[in-house]
Amino acid sequence: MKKLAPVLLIAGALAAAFASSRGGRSRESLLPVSRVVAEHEKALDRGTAIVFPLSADEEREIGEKIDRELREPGAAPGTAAASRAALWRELGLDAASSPLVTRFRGRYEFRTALRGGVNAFAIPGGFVYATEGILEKLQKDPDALLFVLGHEIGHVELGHYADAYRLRAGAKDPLRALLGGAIFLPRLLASLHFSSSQELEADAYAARLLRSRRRDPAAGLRVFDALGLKAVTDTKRGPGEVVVEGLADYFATHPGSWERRAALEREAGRAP
Amino acid sequence: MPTNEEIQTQLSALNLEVHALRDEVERLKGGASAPAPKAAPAEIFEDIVRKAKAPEPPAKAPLRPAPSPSIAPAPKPARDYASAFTEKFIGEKMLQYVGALILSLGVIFFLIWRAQHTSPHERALMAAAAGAALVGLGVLARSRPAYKNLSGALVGGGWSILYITAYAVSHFPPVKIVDAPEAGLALLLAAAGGMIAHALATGSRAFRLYAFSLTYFLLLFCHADVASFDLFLLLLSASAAIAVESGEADVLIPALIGFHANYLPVYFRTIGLPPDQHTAANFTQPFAWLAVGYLLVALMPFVPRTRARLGTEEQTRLLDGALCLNAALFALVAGSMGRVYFGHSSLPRAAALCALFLLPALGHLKALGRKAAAVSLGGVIPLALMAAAVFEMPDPMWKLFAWVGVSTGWVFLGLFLDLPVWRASGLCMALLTFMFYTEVARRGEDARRSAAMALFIFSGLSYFFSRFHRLCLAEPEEWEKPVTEYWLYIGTAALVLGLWGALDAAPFLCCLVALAIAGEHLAVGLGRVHLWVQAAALELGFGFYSFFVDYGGGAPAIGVSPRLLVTAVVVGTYVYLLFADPTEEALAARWEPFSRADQRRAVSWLLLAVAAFAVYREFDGRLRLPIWAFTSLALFWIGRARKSADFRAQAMLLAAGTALEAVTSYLAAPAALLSGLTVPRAALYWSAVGALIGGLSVAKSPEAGTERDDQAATMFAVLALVLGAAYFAKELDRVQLTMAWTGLGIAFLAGGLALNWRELRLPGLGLLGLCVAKALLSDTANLPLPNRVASFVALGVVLLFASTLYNRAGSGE
Repeated sequence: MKKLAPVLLIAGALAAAFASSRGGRSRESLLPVSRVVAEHEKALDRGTAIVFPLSADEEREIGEKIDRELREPGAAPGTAAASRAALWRELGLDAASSPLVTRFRGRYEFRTALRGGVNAFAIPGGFVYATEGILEKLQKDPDALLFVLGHEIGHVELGHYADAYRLRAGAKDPLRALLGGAIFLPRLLASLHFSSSQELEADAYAARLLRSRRRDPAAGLRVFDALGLKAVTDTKRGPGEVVVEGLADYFATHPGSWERRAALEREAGRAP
Repeated sequence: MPTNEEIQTQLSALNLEVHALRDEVERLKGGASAPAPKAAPAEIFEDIVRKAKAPEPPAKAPLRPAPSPSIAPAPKPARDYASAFTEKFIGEKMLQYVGALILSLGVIFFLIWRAQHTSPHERALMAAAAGAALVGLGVLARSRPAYKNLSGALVGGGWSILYITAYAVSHFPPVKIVDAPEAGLALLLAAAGGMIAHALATGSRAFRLYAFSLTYFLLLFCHADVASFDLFLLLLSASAAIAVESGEADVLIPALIGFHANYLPVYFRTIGLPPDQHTAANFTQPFAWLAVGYLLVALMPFVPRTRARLGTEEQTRLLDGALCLNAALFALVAGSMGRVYFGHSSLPRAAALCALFLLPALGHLKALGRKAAAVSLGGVIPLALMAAAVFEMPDPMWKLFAWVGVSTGWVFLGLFLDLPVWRASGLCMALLTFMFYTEVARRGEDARRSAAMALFIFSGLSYFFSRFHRLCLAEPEEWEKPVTEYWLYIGTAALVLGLWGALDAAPFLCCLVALAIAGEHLAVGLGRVHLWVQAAALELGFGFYSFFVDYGGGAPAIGVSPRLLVTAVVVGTYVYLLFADPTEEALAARWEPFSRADQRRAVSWLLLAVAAFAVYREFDGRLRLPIWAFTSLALFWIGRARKSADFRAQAMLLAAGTALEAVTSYLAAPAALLSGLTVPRAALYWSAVGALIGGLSVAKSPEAGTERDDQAATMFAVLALVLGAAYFAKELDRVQLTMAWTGLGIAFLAGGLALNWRELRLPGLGLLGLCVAKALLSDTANLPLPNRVASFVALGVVLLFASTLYNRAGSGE
């Protein structure tokens, strides 16, 4: 057995090499490690949320102010833009009825914006916006639009906006203002790192939301295609490129296409 | 300020020094020694004292310590006037050379002055007469010992005038008396021949070199017609013949420099042609001139008379130097001209050019011996030419194949011919393969994979060399003694780099594992410590590398995700290395930087890190906690069984990490992102809590009792409580949570009392205290009064019950 063990190990390693190569592309990256750090940096915001909770009404109040500034007059009835806006609202209400939605359940509002390229975004309090650009691109793919909605709702439900506004909202409270000032810089530096993690969380939330509505979570991949986040085919990079990617990720607001697509693929293939 | 005594001492020392110098002068003149030094006269001493009292500039250097006046200084040895470039040389040689040069210039200026007043014939005659007179004077001076040293300069100056005059009479209008070019050339050659013959006859190396240099450089500076380059070939041949016949190889050096200097007009004319005229036909003749000149000298050692006449050690060394110079100049001029002409190197052209170096070098090997510089250079230059040609090949795959082939081929040649420089140059080129590979690999996936194949071949050849060197070389050079190990490292590096290029990260990692295991067993089998070092480095390397593998989407392979599959392989390998390590201590002890025990310790820590990291990345906060808890328990058990402090420390660390993660990535994580709470998952979670309690019981067993066991017991109890509390905090609402925590605290307290385990009682009490604070400050704050009353009553009853338990346990004890 002692003589057989190394042979078995070598054979097992080679078999694993074959099997893992069949399981898809893999590459070197600093992100698996740096993402762990970022995920723990989020404890900064989550700890603050326990000490200074921001109620849904307070967040809604902040959101309403922003919404008043952003809101645009609706499209003329009977136009294509109006029908797209209606589709957005209809799908939005469908998404918001998922059991995963709890924080602003029944209070979500879905709006459209003319400007802003191909994009969608949410503001605190449950206001979800889509630009005409993204609606035009995805109007024939309701599941993809549902994924976009799930992603933006995810940011709201997971408290990403509440985290960003929590200490600002309490500026009248001297203790909260003091704490807000004290942790502003470390939070800013840390959030540069974990904003990509928040995007991955929102993607995971969207995938689960689609699954809860009995839709295909892989629709998210079509959204990435529409946004130009193509699949990377050449995986091998030099050590310098790996380091550059790791450093660039620190300042990026969104993860790179490889990581984002891979995370969604894993989430889509995961058991509920 | 020096004292009088110090000044007197210094004065005496100076006095002694003056007398010593005077002695030396007298001795050199053949006179008697000067009388012994006396004390300094009083009036002089007083003067010096006055000077010493005057202020001195601060930057003045301190005086040397004075020698004792009672000891007479030893007479210094006479100056070495025999060495070159000393006063003797300057006085006896340099002055007369400069004088002769100035005299020549004076004659030239005289000729210029006379040019307006005399006929060309008269001018030429005067110049020739002046030159001849100087030569005659030089010859005469040679026979007089007192003026012998003047002879060389006079003769050289005279011949210079004669040679310049011979050139001038057919080229300069003021003295032009010869119209036919052939006659002018014959006159010039006659003058040069006479000068060189005279130089050879005198046996003066300086005159000899001067004569050859002047012959070539006068023609160069006077812009000789390019078409007359055949003349230079003729001159070079004559120089070679003269070198052989005179037995003086040094004449080859100015001849070669002059030959190539005169080639410059040809070179610039050739490369200056418009690009559309860069044809083989236009290239052939200039190259042929150059090649014939090169071969003329390069093939000299093949002539038996050369070996006979230049057989002394000094002449062989000079010939070797001349051959090196010849090869270097030819490579430089021919290589650069070919590059300009054809735009890039090509293998056939480079191979043809290489043959011009290789074949003579092989001949030199026989004539001059294997350590001759010309033989070494004859291997290095072709390799450089081939490397340049290979580097410019368009196809990256064939480029790398050719690079590997050429470099290893050179090593083979060096081995067969027993030429260390050839082997070294091949080794250097082989090392550049790695740098070269990165350049190729950057061009895309296909190029990278193709290049990887070349690296596999390179690796195989390197491993072959690592054995072949040892077998082939009976007497390796000093630097080559460890070269077998160099090749071993190169082979492994090439193999690893090739695998990296050919495979994605995950399969590459698996192959590293296989390579490490195979390397370790081969090291044991062959008894090669460096192979073990490589295997050990690979074992640590793949552990570190595994942290940086991004598995992408990672479709499940054979039912598990690629990450878990690969991690299982890594962990399995590490477990094998830890518990069934094949390496013998005696083998590893031959390596000093780290020991086998160090390596095993590093492996054990890496094992923990790799496994924990993979669990973190693969499972969410709800599932990773029980896995880590079980692992911590297993590590504690192994550490206890094997009496390993490392395993115990790892168990403690993992337990602390689990508690931290229970708060950060489970309790604080959004519930929507955690896996669904199913019965099996909840069972797994609580089984981990139960296992930790089991670990506590092991740590409290009768065989235990050490301080470390007590620490482990506390650790397991706290961890079990944290996991249980975290579960309730995550899954239950506020009041339910308080009740659940109270129940958990009571359970721990009761268990601790029943078993008399302090490690259970204290965490239970702590949790109960937290429940009381939570109920008073948070849960009941907004309740209606009746509910608040009910809550307080219930809480009070629970606390009383706990107290009762404590009291009963206390009375029992």
